[in-house]
Amino acid sequence: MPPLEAWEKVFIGSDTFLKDVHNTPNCIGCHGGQPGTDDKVAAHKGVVRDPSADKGGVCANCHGEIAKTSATSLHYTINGYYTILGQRGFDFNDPKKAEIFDRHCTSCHATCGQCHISRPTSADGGLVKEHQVKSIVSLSDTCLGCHGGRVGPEFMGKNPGVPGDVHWTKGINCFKCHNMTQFHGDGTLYAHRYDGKPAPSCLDCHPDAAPGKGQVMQHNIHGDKLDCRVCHSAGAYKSCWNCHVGLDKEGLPYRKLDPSVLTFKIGKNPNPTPDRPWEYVLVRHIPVPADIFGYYGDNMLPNWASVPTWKYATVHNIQKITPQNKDCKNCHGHPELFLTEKDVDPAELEANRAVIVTEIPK
Amino acid sequence: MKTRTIAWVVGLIGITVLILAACGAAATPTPTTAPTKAPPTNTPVPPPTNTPAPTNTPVPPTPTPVPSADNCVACHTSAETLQKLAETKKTGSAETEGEG
Repeated sequence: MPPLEAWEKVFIGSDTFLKDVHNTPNCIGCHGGQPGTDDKVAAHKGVVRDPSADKGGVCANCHGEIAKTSATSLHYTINGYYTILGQRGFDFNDPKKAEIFDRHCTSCHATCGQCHISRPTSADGGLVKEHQVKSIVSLSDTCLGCHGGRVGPEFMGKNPGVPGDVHWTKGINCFKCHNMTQFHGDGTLYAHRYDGKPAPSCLDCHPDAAPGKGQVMQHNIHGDKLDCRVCHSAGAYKSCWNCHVGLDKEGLPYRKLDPSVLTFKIGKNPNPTPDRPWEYVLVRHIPVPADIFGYYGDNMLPNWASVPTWKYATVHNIQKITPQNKDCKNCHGHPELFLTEKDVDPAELEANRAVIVTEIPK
Repeated sequence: MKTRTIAWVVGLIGITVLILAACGAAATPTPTTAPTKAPPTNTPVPPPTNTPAPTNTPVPPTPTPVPSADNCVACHTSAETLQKLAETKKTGSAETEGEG
């Protein structure tokens, strides 16, 4: 996604939007600002950059129901951050720490406008199509604006040597599997994205892949022991290490991250539930070291080791036939496919006990 | 004469009352059945259903007087003006490294 020049971000080059129903309140009606002046500073006095930011804001005037549920969606609440950082001991009640969190971690928070009108803030913003309000959002500008680091490349086959997802190559895009409630919320405040039933579940479209429901021997043998991806992930996917955040000499926030590495690791399911009962899942390393906030002080995550750094991953590079499922012997007895103690940094062993495989299936 | 008229009216009213009373007495009372207790039934409780996704019912915006935004449109539809006035603000540090 090429970056936009500052002027391009706010340029309205045709009258399509100006004639659209969404321009009924006009610029000032939604964004505020001052009429009757050509002076840039005077005209922008009181301007609200994103008038949809607060629980839908102006969008809620017409789309009240969607705005209401959207305020519960993970895209809006970013509860995943609060939940996992909270488990690691980050103190959100400390105003200084809350400010650090706001500075470095909240640009992923999505609003109506950041999906339907502009690129997300985390992708540096800017109008996607001259302020037109897109009901079907742009996959490249919007979805990949936030999910273009790991999921995007694996889905589209951009990881070297690994084919893309069969759904993508067959023309099935994000919206065909992920329904609207996953974007707009369903009114439930989920703690993180793996809270609740898999959405979507592979079985939604492939019910005969459920154990005992079809003729495929491997599905019936493995039962509920394996997440579908363990067998059907086409190959390696990105893992990341060592993210550190801080402020530079000018006081601007920075983030430093080691280059990603392609890994394929089968780990133990750290949290089997009736909705996700599997014994084995795919895991990827996430870049959260104990000292991620080290710039600001020591021991900012006192319970850092309470959550694995090799995290359950819903990898998006699905194929029917994969290297590991071509033959039983391609997986059974292959320790290199599994996350074992030797794959884990000694400093992270304690954090990852729940996902480390101690006995390789024979 | 006046006394006779009054007596005539009073008599007429009296007769009317008697006739109405007789009709009322002749009316057959509607039989009523004693209330019986309905046997308790186990009303099956429907399984919880997923609340359907809220539909987007458009509510027309309340028209509120908004000042003209001609000045906004004039500038934001002119690439030349925007390029001239654009300021590139640094939002992230040059020290940022790595994917994200």
